[in-house]
Amino acid sequence: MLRRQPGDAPASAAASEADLAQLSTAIAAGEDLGPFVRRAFACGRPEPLLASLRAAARDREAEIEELCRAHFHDFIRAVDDLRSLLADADALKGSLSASHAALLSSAAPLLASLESFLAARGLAGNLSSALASSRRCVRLLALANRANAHLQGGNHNLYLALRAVDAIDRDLASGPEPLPLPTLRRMLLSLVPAVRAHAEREISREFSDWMVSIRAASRHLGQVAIGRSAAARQRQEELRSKHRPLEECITLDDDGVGDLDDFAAAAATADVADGAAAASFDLTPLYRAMHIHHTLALGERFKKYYLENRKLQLTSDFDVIAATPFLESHQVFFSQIAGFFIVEDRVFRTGGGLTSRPDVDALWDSAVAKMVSVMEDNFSRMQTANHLLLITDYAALLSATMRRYGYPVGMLLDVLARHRDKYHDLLLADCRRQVVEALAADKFDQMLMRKEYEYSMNVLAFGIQSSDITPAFPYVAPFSCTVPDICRIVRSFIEDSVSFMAHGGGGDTYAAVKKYLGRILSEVVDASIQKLVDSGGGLSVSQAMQVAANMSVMERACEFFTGHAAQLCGVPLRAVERGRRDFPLRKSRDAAEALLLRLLRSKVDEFMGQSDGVTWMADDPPAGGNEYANEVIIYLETLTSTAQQILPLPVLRRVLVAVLAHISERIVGLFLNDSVKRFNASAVTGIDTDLKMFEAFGESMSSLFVDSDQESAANEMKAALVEARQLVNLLMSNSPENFLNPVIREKSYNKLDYKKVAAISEKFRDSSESYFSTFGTRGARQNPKKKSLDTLIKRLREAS
Amino acid sequence: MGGRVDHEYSYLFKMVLIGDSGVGKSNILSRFTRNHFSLDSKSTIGVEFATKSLQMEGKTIKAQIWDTAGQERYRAITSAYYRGAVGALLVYDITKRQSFDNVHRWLRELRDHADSSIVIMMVGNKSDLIHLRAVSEDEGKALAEKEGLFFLETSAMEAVNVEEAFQTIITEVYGIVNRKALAAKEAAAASAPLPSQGKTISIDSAAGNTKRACCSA
Repeated sequence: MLRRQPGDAPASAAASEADLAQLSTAIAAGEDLGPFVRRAFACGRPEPLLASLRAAARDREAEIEELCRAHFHDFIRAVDDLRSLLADADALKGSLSASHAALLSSAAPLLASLESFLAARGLAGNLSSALASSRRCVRLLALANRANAHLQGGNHNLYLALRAVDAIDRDLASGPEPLPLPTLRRMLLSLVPAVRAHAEREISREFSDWMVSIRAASRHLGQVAIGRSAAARQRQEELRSKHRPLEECITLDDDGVGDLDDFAAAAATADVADGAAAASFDLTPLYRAMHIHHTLALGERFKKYYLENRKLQLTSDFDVIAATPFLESHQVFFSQIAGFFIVEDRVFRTGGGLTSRPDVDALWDSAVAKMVSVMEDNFSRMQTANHLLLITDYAALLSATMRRYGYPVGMLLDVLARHRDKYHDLLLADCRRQVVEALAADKFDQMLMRKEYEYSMNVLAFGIQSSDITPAFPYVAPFSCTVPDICRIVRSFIEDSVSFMAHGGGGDTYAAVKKYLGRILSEVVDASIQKLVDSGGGLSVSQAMQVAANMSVMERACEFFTGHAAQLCGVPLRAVERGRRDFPLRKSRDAAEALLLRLLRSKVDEFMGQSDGVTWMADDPPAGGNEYANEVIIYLETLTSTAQQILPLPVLRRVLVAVLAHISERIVGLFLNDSVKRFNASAVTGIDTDLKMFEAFGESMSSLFVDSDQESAANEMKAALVEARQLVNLLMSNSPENFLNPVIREKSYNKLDYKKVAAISEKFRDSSESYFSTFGTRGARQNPKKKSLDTLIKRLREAS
Repeated sequence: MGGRVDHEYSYLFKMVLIGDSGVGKSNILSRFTRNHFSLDSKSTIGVEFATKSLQMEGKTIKAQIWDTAGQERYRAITSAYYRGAVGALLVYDITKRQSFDNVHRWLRELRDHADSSIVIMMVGNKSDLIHLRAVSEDEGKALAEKEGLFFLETSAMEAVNVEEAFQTIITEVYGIVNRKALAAKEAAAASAPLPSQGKTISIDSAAGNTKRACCSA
């Protein structure tokens, strides 16, 4: 062995030991030993490696020898076992041969039995198969028979027939094997679709019949539903207006409509003649048709078919009115549509999805559009108010009916509201014609009533009685027949207006009715009377007085109108009284008074126009006044005795004051008349006497006005004559130039006009000169009155 | 589409049928306008209309007849029902005394709402029901004379006197219309030569106005 280097021994030993461990691990793992060999030879000392490898080889060989020795022992034992087994097998072989022989001897008879058994079993299987086929055929034929029985039983058994046919179909389609009888199979295969087709055909026919009958029934149903809405409205109106005894008496038969469903009501009110229609309210055919179609897997198609056909029916319903005037056909038109949609509502709620809300809404929208179009078209051509009212009334009932079923009716009501003004214009035109006719027919005499019934109809009905005590008959009214006639016309207008407002559109009914009432009173009544009055129309004084008297009665009637409108609208009277207005007929009342005054003035002028009435240069004053004055007084007294009976005191007072004022003007006019050249003191004295008579008349008339201030009336009468009085006083005064004094003039002659005084004084002066010239012998002496008069005239000339 | 406006007539007379419920107003109407009678006693709902044109002295007169239920359930249109009516048939049932007793009430309502010049005929219907008669013809005649009405007994079922009833009213109304037109012409002629009135009256327009006024319904 080489001698170790002293410095490298530990490092080399450590590395070698590590390499050996790795080598062992590699050998155990079966890895490639190449790298170990190369590294050993690279180091230059392969001997340890070779030794390790020889040792490893020796260990392996020892192990292999041990393993071979063990295996050899096992092999020997196995061979021994096999040899003993062979012996056992030979023994067993002998036993088997013996057993086999015994078995064969006993199994021979069993084999014969087995063969018999197998033959019998095959036969049994065939029989079972035959029986099963027969039973299947019997069942199919039984189903067919049942289907046939159901088919013969009518459409109400159609579903059961289809179920039987479906069972047949399922058996044919999903049976374990095709039906062994080809003839039967072919028959059944053709039967199934035939029965289905038959079912569809029958149910469609029934459905078509139902569609026809439901259309006829719908009209009746619509009429009944609208009738029930009318009855409900009637009850509401009766509750609202409890104080209509006359109309309550006329209500002869009680409607007696209970709170029934419209279908039940329609069926209950259907008579024998409507038996078919009543039966047609039954929706069972529809339900059956829907069910059958679903069973036939045709549900969606049926839905579509139903909707399309109902749409066509509705379109056909729209043409109900094509042949006849709308006025006569509108009830049928509206009833048909109402009934249609009542049925649709029932179908929607109970049809299990046959129709949908959008479907029904679309139908309703088209129906509303159609109804609106029809109404607009017909309303535009209507020229009679009550035609418009009747149609809107029925349309309003239709709206009330459909609202009960949840259909929106706003557009329908809009149409009615839109035609409110047109309706009232037509109504006003009709009333204007009636008022004009009433005025033309009136002779303006006081109305005579012979019976209490007439008094009730013409006076009490309009609240125009003068006292609460029923008068004795025959009764002469303070008004003429025009007054109750106009009252009837206006009341009728109010009722027609309320009828339209209450049911023909929304909004504040009373406010609108009041507006239209104002229109008829101002545009029709006031205008017509004013026109009559302004035209004169050949009315006499007594007739004009009657017209004026009528106006005061109309004033009370107007209060009745307002109250009547409020009552019909359900507004309490206290609210009405609070909003009391001016007299709406003031213009015609003023015109009537003006006409009366105009006629009275012309009458007075007629009397005072007599050329021989006054003697202007008489030697003595006329005893008892001039002729004209007496005639005027007589006329006025006669007039007043009549006027007291009919004219209200304020009117009479105004008339008398105005007449006296006119007389005063005329007296002054007498002095100013161009035909009068001169007058003397006697004439003035005569006029003074006349004036005293008129003043006495006024004084006596003032006693009529004891209700108001009598003294005030007397003063008014006196004031009316003041111009003439002041003029006469001036002419009779000894100091006429006092007129020039402002203080005296303001106190005693304030009504006199400068120019008039100048002109009249001129005439008087000439007369004075002529008078005194007869006394020529006294020419040297000047009359003081004459001098005063000359002064007055001169100063007035200077002033002018 | 839409109703036709019928202008093929000279006069349009509106007439109303009034009376208790069930006296046969609707059958009178249908017998006159459609020559049809129905035993169906269904009540009229609201107002029904029917028209019939007939000839008189070479002129076409269109009768527009309004029929309503006897109950007051349609009070909303009571005034409108009577407005513009020139003739009225006041119907009672000769087999029901009450319907005859109520003639007074219907007459009162008629005079309260209708034009004062309306021509009224009292009609005793169902004259075929001889064995059920409760009101004698003399009673009807006496009441009609007392109230100044025309009177006829009718049977809508047997078409007895129905045509005559309407014909009588139409003839009377036609006479009134003619007299009114004549009076209007005379008034116009009388007014023409009065220059102090300061107005001119056209005879044609006055007569035309009168006619239109009478015919509108």
